Amino acid sequence: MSLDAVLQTFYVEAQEHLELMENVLLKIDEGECNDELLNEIFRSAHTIKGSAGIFGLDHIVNFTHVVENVLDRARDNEITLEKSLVDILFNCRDHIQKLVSVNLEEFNAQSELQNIGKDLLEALSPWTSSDEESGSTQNSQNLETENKETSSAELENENDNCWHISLRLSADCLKNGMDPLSFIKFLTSLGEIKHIETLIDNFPNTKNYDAEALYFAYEIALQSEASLEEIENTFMFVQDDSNITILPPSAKVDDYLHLIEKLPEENQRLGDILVNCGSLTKHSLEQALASQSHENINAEEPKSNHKLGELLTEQHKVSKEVINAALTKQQQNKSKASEGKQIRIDSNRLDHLINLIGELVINQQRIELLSKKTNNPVLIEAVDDFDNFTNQIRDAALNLRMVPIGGTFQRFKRLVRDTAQELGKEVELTIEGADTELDRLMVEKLGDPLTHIVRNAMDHGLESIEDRTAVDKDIKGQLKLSAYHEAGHIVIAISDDGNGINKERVREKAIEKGIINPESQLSDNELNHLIFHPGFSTAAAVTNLSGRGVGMDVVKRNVEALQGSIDIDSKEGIGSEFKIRLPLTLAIIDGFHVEAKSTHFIIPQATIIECIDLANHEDIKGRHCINLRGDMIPYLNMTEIFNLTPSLDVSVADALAQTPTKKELVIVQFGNDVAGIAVDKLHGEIQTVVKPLGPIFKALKGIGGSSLLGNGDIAFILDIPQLIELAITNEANNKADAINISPNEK
Amino acid sequence: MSKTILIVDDSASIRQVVSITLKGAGYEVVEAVDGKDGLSKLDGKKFHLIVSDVNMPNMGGIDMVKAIKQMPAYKFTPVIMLTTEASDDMKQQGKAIGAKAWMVKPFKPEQMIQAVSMLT
Repeated sequence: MSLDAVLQTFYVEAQEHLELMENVLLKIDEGECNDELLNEIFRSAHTIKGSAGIFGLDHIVNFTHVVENVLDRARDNEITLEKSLVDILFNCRDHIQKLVSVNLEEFNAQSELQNIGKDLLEALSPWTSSDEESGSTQNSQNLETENKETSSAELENENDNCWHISLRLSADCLKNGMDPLSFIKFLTSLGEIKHIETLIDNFPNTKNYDAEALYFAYEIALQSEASLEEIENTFMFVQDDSNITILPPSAKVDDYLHLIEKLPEENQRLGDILVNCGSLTKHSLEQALASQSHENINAEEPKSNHKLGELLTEQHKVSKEVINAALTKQQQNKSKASEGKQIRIDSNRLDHLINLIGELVINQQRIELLSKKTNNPVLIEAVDDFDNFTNQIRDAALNLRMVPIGGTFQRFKRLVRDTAQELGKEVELTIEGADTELDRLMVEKLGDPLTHIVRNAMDHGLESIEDRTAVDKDIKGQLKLSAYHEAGHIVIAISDDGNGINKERVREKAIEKGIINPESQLSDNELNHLIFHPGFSTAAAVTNLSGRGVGMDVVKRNVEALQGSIDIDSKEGIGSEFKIRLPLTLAIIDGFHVEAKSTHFIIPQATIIECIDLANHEDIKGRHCINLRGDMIPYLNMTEIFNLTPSLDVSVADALAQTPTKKELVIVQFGNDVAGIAVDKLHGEIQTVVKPLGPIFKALKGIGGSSLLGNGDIAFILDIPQLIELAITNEANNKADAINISPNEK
Repeated sequence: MSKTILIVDDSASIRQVVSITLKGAGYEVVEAVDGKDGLSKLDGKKFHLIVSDVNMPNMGGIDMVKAIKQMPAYKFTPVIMLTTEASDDMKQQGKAIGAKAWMVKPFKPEQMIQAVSMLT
């Protein structure tokens, strides 16, 4: 693997962290703010910065560092994430995204980008702090509390600003890879060690001496303004099997006596040591030791070694609640870890696997065909089993490529928030069916069309606050994104409770732009669909967001490229709903195999309603239209549409047998439209792998792809939405022709 | 036999950079995504060195190293901590738990190899 490939990993990773940051910011913006979220967003910024540094992407590091600094302060509760800061952080996140998309040279060349960065950092400055500043404020705070403590302790304590630390580390300390010297060195970073006494009482005779064991004990007087927690943290890695007592500068003589009692060494000697440390005066020690013999102060106190934690709770330094809170936190982290059992794989590998499974499916069909020819029941049964498993493998593999649409929907939260702010409207976004799964390929391509529809809905659909109040609607506009399954398809609906499409204006505009004739009679549905016409826009003023008249036609084209369709349902004054219908997957489909003039076609199974015999239904006035149980259904003859001639290798006998063809009609549906497809032969259900057609065939209408049949023949996969559209327009033209012609005929 | 190194970092890109660097220098590398994963990757196998990030989800580097140092088999396994925080007390904290070296991100591959070769 080269470093370039790693750089790719970095980009993917940065993208993920940026998404995470956005989600967290959205939650904070909605008023949900807790330590976990702050930690999460901090870590994201931190990781982006760290990784960018490895690759020398200094432009990312320098900017992200400041953002990280602000987030760190928020995490430490030094600042609160108020609305204005959240807004800036949103912009900072976007800026990081831009920074990630350019390399260092590009960045240096783009002064605009640099200026945006500078402005953002400037905007952040009220919340940032240089390390020195924060350090000094903290210190002064500590000083204050320290002073209070010492003032109360002065009377009793001779060495007023000194902590006394009594270290009895476990004998295994060195074996565990921990050097007591490193703790002592660390203490010097917290303050000044006024006195240190090393006790060698535990030192055994040479016979029992273990060179790896630790026999020393320490009594330390530390002059420091550090908090108990900071000092205690020094020993956090050894505290479990060691006996450590930390006495604050304010400790009373009794506390020292308590300590002396607890420690294994001889009392008088310890006393002397404490005096040496300056923790006690000789006078107070003598007094105390004398009084100790009279009243057994520590009688009820067990002499067993206390763990530091227990001691601390005894001294009420750490409340039980804090410990409990820490425990629940640990629990939560555990459950989170199990949720995250996922692996990441290269999508190309996945596509390769799906391709191979496609080949497997084709081969399986070939075997099935061959086995049937043998009439061997055992073989046929075995092949049937094989078929069953092949299907399961296929489904499992396809499932790997399915991702929930939720991720895509989530991104709209931000878009809606920003757009609403820009337009001065209030919009509430609801999301439904976020866990509906869709082929990854489709999810990627859906982003743009969805963005456009959502923007349009907010810009043109939802009214301004004044307009909404005028018509007695809630000032908060409702926007809903939902996804659900319907008849072998996935439907993604975007609905709003806005003004709806003004059909009269659409009509006027279409006439003005020359899209329709002033005389044409159009149904509501047809009027609505005019907005997908290239170059159509009804917005009086072109706003920043939409209204330039490019877009809705692109939306339609994008959706159709995914074998999908788009529908509009709109009621004036009540709202509009855009429905995008998409197939479940693009790779392998359940199809219905038909034949016309020895050419094989596959009709996607999900679109088929029924198969009928064409001869039994009367054709209406040569208009390629039949009456099916009262409904007028236009149909297309495959032989005519594709100008098919029988292939050359068909024997004369076959050709003769076929001549008076008995036509079969397959009734298909897409969305609300129904049409028939007339073919010669029905072959039955088949699983097929969709192979895209080359670019030369792009212009070909009605064919969505090709596929290999089990016997090696090629079959064309029919693009049903396009064919239905064709059938309907043909029918309409025929009708018009019939009307035009009829007067002449008379 | 080449020496085996465990690298623990939640950032895939950093893991890969370290991994490529060390593999290039002839080491075997095992990757883990966080402290918990790091502990499970140990799995009783022999590791000559552990390289770990500090700030990670689920279980941070300090906690992981603390836990590792409790295991007899890994008591003496040297640890290099990686971090973006260069503050002294972080370094000291790392040293206190038995980390032998402290590398501040970003680091150069040569620095990494030098540190690793000193410790293995």
